[in-house]
Amino acid sequence: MMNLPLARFAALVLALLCLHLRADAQPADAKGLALFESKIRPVLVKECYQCHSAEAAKTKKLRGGLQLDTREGTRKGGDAGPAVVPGDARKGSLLAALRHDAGVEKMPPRGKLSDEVIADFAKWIELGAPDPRDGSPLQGKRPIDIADGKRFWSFRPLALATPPDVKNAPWVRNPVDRFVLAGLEAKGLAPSQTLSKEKLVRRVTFDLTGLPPTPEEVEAFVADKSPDAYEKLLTRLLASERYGERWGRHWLDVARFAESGGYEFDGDRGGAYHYRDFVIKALNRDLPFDEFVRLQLAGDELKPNDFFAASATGFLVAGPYPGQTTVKTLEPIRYDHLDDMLATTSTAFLGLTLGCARCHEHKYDPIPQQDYYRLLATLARTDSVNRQMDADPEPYRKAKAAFDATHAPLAKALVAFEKDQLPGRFAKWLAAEQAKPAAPWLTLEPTAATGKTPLKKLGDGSYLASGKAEKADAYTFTATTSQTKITALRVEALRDDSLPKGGPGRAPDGGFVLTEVTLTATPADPTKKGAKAVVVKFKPGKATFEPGATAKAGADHAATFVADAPFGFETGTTLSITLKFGDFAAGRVRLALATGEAELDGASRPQPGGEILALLATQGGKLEGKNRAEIVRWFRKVDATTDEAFAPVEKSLAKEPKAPLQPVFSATSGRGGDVHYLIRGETDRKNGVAPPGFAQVLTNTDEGRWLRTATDPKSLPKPPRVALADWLTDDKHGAGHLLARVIVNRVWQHHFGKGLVRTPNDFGAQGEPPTHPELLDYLAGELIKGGWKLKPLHNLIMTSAAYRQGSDLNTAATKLDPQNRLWWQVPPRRLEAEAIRDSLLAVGGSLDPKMYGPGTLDENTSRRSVYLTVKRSKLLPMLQAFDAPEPIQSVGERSLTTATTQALTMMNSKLVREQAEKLARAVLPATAADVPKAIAKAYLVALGRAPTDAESRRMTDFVLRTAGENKGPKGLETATADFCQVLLCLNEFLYVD
Amino acid sequence: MNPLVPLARREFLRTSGLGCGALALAHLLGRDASLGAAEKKPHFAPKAKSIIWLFMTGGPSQVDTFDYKPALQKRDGEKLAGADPKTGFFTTSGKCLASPFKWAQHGKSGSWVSDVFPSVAKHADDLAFVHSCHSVANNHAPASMELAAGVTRPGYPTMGAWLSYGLGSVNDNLPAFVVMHDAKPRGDDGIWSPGFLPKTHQPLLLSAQQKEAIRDVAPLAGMTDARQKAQLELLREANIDHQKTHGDQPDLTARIRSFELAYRMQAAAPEALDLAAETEETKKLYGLDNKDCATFGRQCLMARRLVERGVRFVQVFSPTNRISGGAVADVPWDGHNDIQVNHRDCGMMTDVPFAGLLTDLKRRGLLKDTLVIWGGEFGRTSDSQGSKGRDHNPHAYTTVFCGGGTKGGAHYCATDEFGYKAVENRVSVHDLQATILHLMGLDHEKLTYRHNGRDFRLTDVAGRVIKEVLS
Repeated sequence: MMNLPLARFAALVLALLCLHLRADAQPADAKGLALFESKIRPVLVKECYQCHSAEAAKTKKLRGGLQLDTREGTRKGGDAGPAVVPGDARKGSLLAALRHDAGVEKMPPRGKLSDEVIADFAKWIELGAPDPRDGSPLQGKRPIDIADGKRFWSFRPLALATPPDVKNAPWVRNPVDRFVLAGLEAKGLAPSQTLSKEKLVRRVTFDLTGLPPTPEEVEAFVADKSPDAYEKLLTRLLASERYGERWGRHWLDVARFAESGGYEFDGDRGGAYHYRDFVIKALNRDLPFDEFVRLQLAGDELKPNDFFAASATGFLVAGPYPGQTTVKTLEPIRYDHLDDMLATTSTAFLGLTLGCARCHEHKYDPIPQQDYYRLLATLARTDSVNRQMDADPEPYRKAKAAFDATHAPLAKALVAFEKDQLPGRFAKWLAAEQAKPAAPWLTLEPTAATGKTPLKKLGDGSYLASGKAEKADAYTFTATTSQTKITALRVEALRDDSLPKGGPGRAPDGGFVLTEVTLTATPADPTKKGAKAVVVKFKPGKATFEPGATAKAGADHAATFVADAPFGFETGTTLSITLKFGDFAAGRVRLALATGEAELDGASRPQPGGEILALLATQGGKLEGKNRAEIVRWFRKVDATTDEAFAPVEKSLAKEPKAPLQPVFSATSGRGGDVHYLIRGETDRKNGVAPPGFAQVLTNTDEGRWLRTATDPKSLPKPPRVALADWLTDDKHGAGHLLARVIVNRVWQHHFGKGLVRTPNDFGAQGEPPTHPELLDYLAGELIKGGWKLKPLHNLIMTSAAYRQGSDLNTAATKLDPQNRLWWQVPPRRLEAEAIRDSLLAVGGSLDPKMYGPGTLDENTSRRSVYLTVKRSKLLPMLQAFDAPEPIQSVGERSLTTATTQALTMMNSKLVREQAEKLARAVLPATAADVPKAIAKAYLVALGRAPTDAESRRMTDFVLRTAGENKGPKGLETATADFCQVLLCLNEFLYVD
Repeated sequence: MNPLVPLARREFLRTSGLGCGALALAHLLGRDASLGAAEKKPHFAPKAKSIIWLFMTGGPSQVDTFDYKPALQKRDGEKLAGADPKTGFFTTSGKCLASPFKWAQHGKSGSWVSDVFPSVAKHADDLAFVHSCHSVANNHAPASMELAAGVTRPGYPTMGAWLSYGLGSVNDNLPAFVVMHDAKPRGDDGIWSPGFLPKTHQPLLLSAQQKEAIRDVAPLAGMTDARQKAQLELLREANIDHQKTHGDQPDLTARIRSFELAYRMQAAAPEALDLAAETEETKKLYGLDNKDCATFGRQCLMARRLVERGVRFVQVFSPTNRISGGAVADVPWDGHNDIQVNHRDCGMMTDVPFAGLLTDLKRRGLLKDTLVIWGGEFGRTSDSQGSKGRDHNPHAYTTVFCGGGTKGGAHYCATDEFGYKAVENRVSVHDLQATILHLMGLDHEKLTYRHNGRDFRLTDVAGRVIKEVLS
């Protein structure tokens, strides 16, 4: 394997060598120069410059990084290495391409040049490729200096700064405030006033649960004068299961979560919702964040057969995947799939835009293309799978253990019977059976018989109809057989005293009319390849009655139907026989099969004997063999003792517990081979196998630390995804410090509206630097110290005074820091699409708290929005209108738009109106005098506060006026609903302070 | 978002007593930048103000429509040298399949057009043909995404969204980007989504199968105009009160306006799509009296009404085919089994409306600044699939431009003598996109959006304006 920097190094050395040669060999060049001018240059101009020149570079048509219009460019070459190695025609990519050698891109693309021209090039190169064209070649690739890169703020180790001293110490509630206040004081600014308790409880409840507080919750908090009232509130909300639903949705944005494949057909991924449930559960349990990461990358490897861990790997495979592939697209699609996993992994966990290094060195960050492919190799064989798993294996394990305990003695007894008694009993029966005279017919013992009227099985293999006689009836019999050369079917209609005039038919005169016989033969093992049912065709047979006519009463009748060709599958056959009757059915029916001569009145024997003999014949007449179980099954029908020995085991087995398996859409290691280095990211330009590895800029030790199971370089390699997870979460030697910074920033972002780093998905050079680097590192350090638990982090941030600020009108601050980078306020934030929908349902009293399980595409569901199925081609319009993300790439921060479609949704959608009407009914005033009270109630439910007097008057006027103009029994209710709808449209409802 | 909002405007809004009835005043306010889609200045003077893109999903055959190849006609059934049977989705025969259609030259330009498009052919001198288009993808969804967004994968902003982002809307009451379709075309939202651009740039989707109805644009049954007006008046008053305690918050202001705009859109959007005001003659021009093409005709006529009202980008997808010829509903031009049957049907559904649109735009003086584009996501093979069909061909297809600053009668570049591969000045999807943006006054290299640490462009790192087809 040659890695990329080495290749570049080699090219450089060769170029230097060539320069040296040229200086020494000047005289010999004359001939070569002449050749260049007459034969080479014109061809280069005509055939190559279009894509390989400075001009092509300017017009963005440059291909392969190769510039052939200067000497330097020609020598240096492009992505495929030096184009020309002077003096050696065997080397260099140019001649190989012109010759259309195997494994190189054939040039020119329009068609091969003539052999003469190619020979000219070879000759010119052998002559030392003299080239008078001066001029600088293309700007070389940006050299990436890893050591220098490590000095960039986000790649540095965490700086564990002590919180600074501040002047206004009384404002400080925890260390977070020292960092914030120091920044404000340095600019002569003051923080905003603390939010009122009424508004604070609303903010905190939305922040942690995505739902408005109930009036009772507001009241309780406002009334709680104890010093730790706020801390108690946080504790209650952090323990609420709504927390996981709220913060889970934030993470699902980052994970580009969806439950379908996108592209054409957008196939559904039934078991994909388990990943959503994993995220919610992990957050509610406060699973340490490093473990949260490890499970998502390698849960299947770290905890094989663990449902929770397998669900976690839904992260890797949540991206889109084409629904149609062709031979030519499989390879690019595989690399796209891996790229999706890697790009999402690096963006979600590290805030790194690694995908940029797919085609070239990263333009801004110290990520060589080589690192991209080595990281890609850690995912090399990752593919998606719908694994059948038991969500909660414990109950099954217990039930199975209990079952095994009771079943074991029964099974043991049976084994003893089979050993001690069965062979003897069987041999005795067989001798007797073989002594019986041969009979051409086997009387069928159907396993099921159905008709419009009940059919009762009699001892002789016949079935007797009872109940009301139907004029048109059809009986269907199901039976199995091991016979392979079935020649005919015999239908016997037998007399019976219970039938009119003794039968055999159910007509008042004892007749019947058989109109149709259908026999379908299906291989008994449907999993067998090529197993296909056949409908057997019959030749007309013989009958003791006229087909289609009434048979003679009080006597037995029969008809034979001879198959066009003998039938019966080698591995056994299931027969389905349907007899259709026209003018009343036969009352007592018996069926028989023949395997040879099929005389109408031929003798018959019960089926078991015939089947056993046929089965024995396939295994040398011995009981032991592949058909033993089938033989024993038939034998039980003729030997009661044997049947009784088997029955208890059978009865017990019927009660054997089954694990409740369900598909989990998750990652697995298997399909797909090695990952190759790709020149310019093109799959048909491979450049050697890439070994698993990591981003060098985030590595300060030997990679073997994570790649192998022990320090010994000869020790076994770890599964590469486990190695990736270990590197990513290693805060001492790997990327763990960046991982901590990135998640801490996300948590801050969702509490303050913006992150300390304003580009939450880009911690690279193109992103914004943190507003407070020391604070970011302090929080990251606290997270790691606290065992990567997020709930204490929320608590730390939310108990700060900085978080509890409102948004004062502050002209000085607005002017000095319009972007609020110093955190002098917490501005009102518009609720996200899901929070708006959930709040509407909550204030309407409709919200269904059911958690987990399959989602739904029905937007009318009352469940929380996080449980709405995310189908890539059917993103829900209401959520889309309010900026729900496109689930294709990781989204770190949603755009927040204000659009007319949103207003239309609030004004005209069924959802909003219905919830307004429900709220109206909940507060409905009995008379006009009650209107102010109803308004106050609605304010409390929707906005968490009482209306001011002015508001109360304005709203009362509105309701009374509207009711006055719309008389009728529902006038007041309609007017109240109109008012409630306005409440739901208010900025105060859609934004939280 | 800049949290500073011009004070004067906010003050004006507070004090003007602007209500829903005061529509004229709303115009005086100008368009609020925080509403996301307000009009923006192009990079340079545009040739076209609007685009109507007739997107022919399925992959129309270049050699059966606008790219005449005498050699192919002569050598029907003979081996096609260099043919790769795995070019498309299935496997092709490697044998030439002559076009089963009648060809003739039209206009002063002598442009060859097959009789799939007898009416469009009359406009030959107004059409600019780019014959050397090629795509990377060889299947519908990725190729449609490539054509729309420059990338064969979903999740990237499409051209309409880029135009909305780059130019905004000139009409407050209508979105900048409208899509009309019949059966939902293959590729789903990936072919018109705003990707990672703000959602304000998503298209208004109008489905023929739902009679082009707009969601939530009409008040619910039972709501009266008087009551809704009263609600909005109350909402405005309450919101302005709320804002007094909230300082400079541009999106609060914008949201107050958004309700007023929404109220007006309730009337304006249905009006724009209402064909009742059109004359019988105009309706006939678009083929509304002909059941073969009435669906597409209706949508083309709506497209004209929309661009008349300032909509930037209207994309009309091919109507659902009635006869298969190998195609299914979401890829109408996909004539795998029988190119003649398939393309004849698709032609009957689109020829008259396409030609009618050109006539109508021209006589109204709209064609000079409306760019009409006709084309599919790729072409079809010159060799046959089965005996009468053609498979997907990413190596060659024809895109047709008309109006909006393009050069009528021009034929740019060429395919090989069988129309199998573009050989001369191959035009990539990025080149097409660069050209279209250029006509709209946008430099494709300057139209960028920062997402996850990278400045993205519609044309990625490529794209060349095809000056040769510009007038």
